[in-house]
Amino acid sequence: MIKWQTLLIKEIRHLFRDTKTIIQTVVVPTFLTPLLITGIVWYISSIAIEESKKDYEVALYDIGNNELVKKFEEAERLNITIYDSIDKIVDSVKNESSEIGIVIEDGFQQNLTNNTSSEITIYSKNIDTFSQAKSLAEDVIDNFENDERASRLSSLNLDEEFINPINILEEDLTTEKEAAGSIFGGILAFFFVMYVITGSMYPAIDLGAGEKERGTMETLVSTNISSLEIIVGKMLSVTASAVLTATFSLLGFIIPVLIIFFFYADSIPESLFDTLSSLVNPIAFLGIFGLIIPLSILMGALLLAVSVYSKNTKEAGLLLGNLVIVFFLPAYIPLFNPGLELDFIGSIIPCYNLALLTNSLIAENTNWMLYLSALGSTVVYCCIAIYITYIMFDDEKIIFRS
Amino acid sequence: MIEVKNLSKQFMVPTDKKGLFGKKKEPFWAVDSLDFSASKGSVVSILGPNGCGKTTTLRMIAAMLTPSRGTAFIDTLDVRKHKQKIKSKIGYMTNNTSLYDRLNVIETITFFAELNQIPKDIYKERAQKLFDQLDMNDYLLKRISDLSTGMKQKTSIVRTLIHDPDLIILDEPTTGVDVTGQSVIVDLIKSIKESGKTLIFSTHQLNEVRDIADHIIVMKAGKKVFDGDNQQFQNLDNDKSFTEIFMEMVDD
Repeated sequence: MIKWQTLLIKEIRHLFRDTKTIIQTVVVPTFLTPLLITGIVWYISSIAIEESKKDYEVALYDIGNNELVKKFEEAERLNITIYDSIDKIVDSVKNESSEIGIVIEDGFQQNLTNNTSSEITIYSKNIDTFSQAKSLAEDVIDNFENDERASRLSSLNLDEEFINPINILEEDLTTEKEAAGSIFGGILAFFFVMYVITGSMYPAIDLGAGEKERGTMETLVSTNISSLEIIVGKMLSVTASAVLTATFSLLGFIIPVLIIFFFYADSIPESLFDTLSSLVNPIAFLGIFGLIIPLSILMGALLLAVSVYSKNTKEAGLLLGNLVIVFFLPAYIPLFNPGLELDFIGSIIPCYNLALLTNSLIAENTNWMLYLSALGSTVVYCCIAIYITYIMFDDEKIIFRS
Repeated sequence: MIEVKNLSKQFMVPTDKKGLFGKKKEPFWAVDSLDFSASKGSVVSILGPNGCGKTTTLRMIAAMLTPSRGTAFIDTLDVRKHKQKIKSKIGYMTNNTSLYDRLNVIETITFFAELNQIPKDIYKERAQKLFDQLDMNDYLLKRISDLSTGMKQKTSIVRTLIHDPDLIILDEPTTGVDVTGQSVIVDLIKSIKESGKTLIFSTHQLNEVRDIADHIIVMKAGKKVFDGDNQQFQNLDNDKSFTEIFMEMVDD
């Protein structure tokens, strides 16, 4: 057996005998993250369901006792309280005794009679994103306005088409696969990047700064293994941990989807079923893994370089914590901008390219030239990172830095 | 045969002066113009107070650090030029046990034997002899983290010797070891000496030196202050003990 293989086997054995590695590589991505996501989705859904049944307190200012007030009072789920000043309405919303406040302009009824327009002001706290009070109130106002508009047109013997010369019809041609790519691609890629980083971070610290701290690095460099062989053995160990973590994270997504397919297929909406079906795409996942492996090598080499430079595990944790932000940020961007499309520049930005290519691989509309550009650039970065790591391992000032 | 010629090592060390990026650094000669030679089969002891350059000297001889000036030859091989070849001839034991906590004794020895590319049947036989000699057979499947300091030290000795090196370098082998452990190491050094291998060790324990070493080198602040054998050392002052002579030699 050649030396780097001997070292690789030893490193993997040493790493995976540590409970922390098993938790980080297997337990968290396979069980904890799906449970966490399910818990968050369940919590948000339960809040949304609760809000859909809730009655809302509405503070209303009106001095004209007009028709619109009657409509509000007749509306379901809105408990109307009439106030005699705008200040009281504002205070009521501010101190949250009312969900929203509605101020109907003085002379509202007179303006209706005169066929002129009036203002209605809605006070709310928009930070409560789940509240349906505002939309319920707007529905009441919209219905009232539609009736009033129809009445005015009718009094002039005009048809509604008179004020609507153009009707815009929308047809959404998004396929289920594209929807799945847009909805889940960014999330999946973000999780992959996160797991490649977390899966390589602890092993990198352990095999670099950890070995320096324990003194085993000195023992290792006293043997006749070369710096390059040390790097290859250690880097592949870190990479193996990162790829394993990413694989288990993938299983963490696939297993719940398969459970839904086999046991709950009848009880989920057809559109959701179709979207989930689009996710189970072997070619997409092969394509994603084709990108994850060089990304893992890149991470492994870079994190190892920083780790071995560090005097101890504490310094390594601090330095690597800052370094990983550089990789996290590009993966964040597509998550919050679902419409982004990959171009050549984007295709050479690590993590950003993975996120957008994950979208397109699931949507089955991948530009394979950009895929190759992403793959090629990551391989180039890998070579640079390995070279940097080689310099670090070959420098006695760094190996014995303490 | 070891030939050390003008061996020197300079480090940049922090001073009390503050610079733009932390403390300013200035050059410091950890080892300065060291010369000595040792014939095959001899036992060389390097003595000196903490920070006198013993570990740096041993690391340079073991081809782990590159000398800033001068060099050392191990069987005519220059440590500057033939690092890998020299490392394969050397068994180096650091001043702490420095083993992989999560491996057991057998796995540890197997790892270092395979790293030195020793055929399986050879290293198994060699390891078994050492296990018997050091009375380790009951501990072979125990993880390093579960071993006592003495047993870790014994494991470290076996891993140092597993590839049957020509030159054995032990950096303060008895530091942090209890009396029993020290006795094991002293016995082992004696058996290495009997086997005709060359051995260099650094130590603070002067009685070990008196009992075992053929050749004594005393260092102070990176420089050699004594080079000779046991008798020559004692002859410096026959009315004083070994320790007293040493203390006078290194005292500021």
